[in-house]
Amino acid sequence: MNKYLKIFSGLVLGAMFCSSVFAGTYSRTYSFTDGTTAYGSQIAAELDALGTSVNNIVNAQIATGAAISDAKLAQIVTPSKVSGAAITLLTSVPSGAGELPSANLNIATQAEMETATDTDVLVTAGRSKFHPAVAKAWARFNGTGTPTISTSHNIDSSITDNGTGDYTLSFTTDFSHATPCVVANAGGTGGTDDQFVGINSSAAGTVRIEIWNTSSTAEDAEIVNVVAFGDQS
Amino acid sequence: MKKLIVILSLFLLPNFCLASSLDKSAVWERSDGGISILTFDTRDMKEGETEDQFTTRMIAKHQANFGSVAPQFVSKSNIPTDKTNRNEWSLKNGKVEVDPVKLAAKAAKEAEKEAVLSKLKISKEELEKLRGLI
Repeated sequence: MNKYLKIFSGLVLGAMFCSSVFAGTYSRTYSFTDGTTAYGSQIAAELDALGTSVNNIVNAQIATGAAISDAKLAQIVTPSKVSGAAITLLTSVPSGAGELPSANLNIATQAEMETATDTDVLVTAGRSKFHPAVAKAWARFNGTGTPTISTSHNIDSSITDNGTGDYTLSFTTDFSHATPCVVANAGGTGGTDDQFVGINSSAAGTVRIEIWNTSSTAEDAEIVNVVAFGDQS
Repeated sequence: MKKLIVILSLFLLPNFCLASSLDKSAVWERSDGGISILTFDTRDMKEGETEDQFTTRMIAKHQANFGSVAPQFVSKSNIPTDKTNRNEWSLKNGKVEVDPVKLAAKAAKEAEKEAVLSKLKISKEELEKLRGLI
């Protein structure tokens, strides 16, 4: 009887041990150098939490002095990954950062250029011409023989010769009004020819000028300079 | 062969470097008796624009100064190169030339001026000097 009791007790204890192992409730204990201990299941839970945290770093978890290396920063291509005043607080753009997207630049519109009062907008090459202080058209031409333009901006090279010292120039892009401010002078290459220039008429698309010598006689000029200011569409 | 290339280059180079114009000009006869001549400079031609489109566009720009008067196309060879009597030019039979009637009128005016100076017993130079003093 005693013998069977021992065998029975051994079977019961063995069954309990096996059930605990196969049910997964048994956990090994780990000892750390600082004297603390933890079950394997506890460590696994901590690791799972850490794994989740790595993918969801919040600002509070980043140390004040932490910085992202340039190499990693360069990999940010999704606009929503950068927010707040991170960029606007920069006093200068880091070297090698490349060109800022035009959407981040406050570029002056045509209307702002024409109003000419804003002091915090940027002027671009293509819109500088809209500022009222900028000459919209200019040319230098030789009025003797067939009138020939040597250099110009927004004035056609095809000139109408109306007579001695009398020329009509056309603007490549018209003015938005019929009364541009036209300034002109004339002279000779020798530097001794005193000549006077008058504006016969001007319109949105053309200007007619006349040249006389000191005897009030119409005269062609070797050098004629014309500049026009005003508003363009 | 090399000489030929050099000679050809010397002839062709100015055509690329200098302004060039069409062989024809648009000529208007103004109501005041004078004529206006529009020279078509090919530097104004737009890419893909034909010669006709170009001349039409340029004429339209200058037409406002001549009202309803339509221009005539005149070959450059039919326009004088000597502009001494430019204000006496007229357009006749598709040619621009010095108009003898206008020239005679100019001569008569000059003679009248000389007669006045003679009566005043002063020369042209003295008249200019006087003009400067006034």
